[in-house]
Amino acid sequence: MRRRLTVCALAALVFAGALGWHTLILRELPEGRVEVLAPNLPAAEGALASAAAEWGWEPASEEGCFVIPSENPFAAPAIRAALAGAGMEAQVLDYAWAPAVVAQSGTLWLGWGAVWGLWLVWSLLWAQGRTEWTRAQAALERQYPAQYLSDAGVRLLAGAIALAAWVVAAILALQWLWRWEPALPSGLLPEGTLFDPAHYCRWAQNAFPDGRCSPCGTALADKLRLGHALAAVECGALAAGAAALRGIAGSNHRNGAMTWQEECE
Amino acid sequence: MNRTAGKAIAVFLLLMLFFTFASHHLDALRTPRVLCVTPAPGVIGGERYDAVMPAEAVYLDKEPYVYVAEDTLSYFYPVAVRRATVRVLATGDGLTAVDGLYREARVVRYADRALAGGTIPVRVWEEEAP
Repeated sequence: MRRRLTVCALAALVFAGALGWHTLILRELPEGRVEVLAPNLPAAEGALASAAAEWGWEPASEEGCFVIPSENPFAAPAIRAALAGAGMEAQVLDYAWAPAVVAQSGTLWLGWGAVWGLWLVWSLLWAQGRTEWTRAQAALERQYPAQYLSDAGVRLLAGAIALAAWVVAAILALQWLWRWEPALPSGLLPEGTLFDPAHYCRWAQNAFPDGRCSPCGTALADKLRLGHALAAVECGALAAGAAALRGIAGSNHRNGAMTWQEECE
Repeated sequence: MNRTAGKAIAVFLLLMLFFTFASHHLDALRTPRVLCVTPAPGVIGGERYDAVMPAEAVYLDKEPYVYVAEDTLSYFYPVAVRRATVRVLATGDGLTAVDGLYREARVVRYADRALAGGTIPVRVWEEEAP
């Protein structure tokens, strides 16, 4: 019991710490942008002029690359098409997804926490229901059902209300999870199997090429790593806390049932 | 024994629920998102044409073709794109004049994943095209 309480307190501390740090790093989100790395930047700028006018972009030159600020998922395909139309060879780094994906890392614990919360409440209700069933069986051996219902009515009604509230919460949570649209970096999901490490290595190399990545790209990669590591810590702490809470509640229930059985005897 | 079987069934059902959610989301994420344009009358090289669209919307295999987005009766895939062969009448200034499309056809201009096959379920990007 004491060990579980300690685990619970530790999990709460770790969760609060990770959430606080996460909130701090998410105060400044990276901007959505597309970077063009071309050997001849002025020519690339010329090739993109008509597309920039059509899409309302305000491109800017940074050290060694040409930057188009945009969060539109079709900005990179449009740039590639414009460059290909002009017959230019260039590397296009698409970071239009960056703000959505980084911001999402701060909300991953909500879905995970909802699932664990529902599991915790359900297991408490289940344990309560089993205790009630044992009580009812024992009581009905020496009482009429009407007498039992009269004695246990308030407790049964409270249980029924808690169960109804849980069902509503579960439906709402499932509906929210069903409608939730995860944001992923473009090109991250492979066409074939998901379990292809080579694809993810290739994607990381294409998205953040060694030695050619801009300071913004490097900062984004660092933020992505840190944000998702913190999200993993938050989710782990939530799971550990919920499991410890379930253990505490379970032992409380067992103790309660034993006391009640002794009282009956 | 009964308790173990009950727990195993509960775990199985929970895993099924989880995999249903995961496959639903994975399927949605793998469905290409497309940006469509509608061919409009325009001028290329001083000539007027009825259906002019951006050149990148026209693909070339053995003959030129475009992907046309159409509504379907499917609940899960309400929109699909179909490969439609066209005849190129003129090209220039990043535009292409085509023949062989019906009026108000929604032609795919960009897709965020590769389009392969004759009919492909897609999600249409709702924001206004430039």
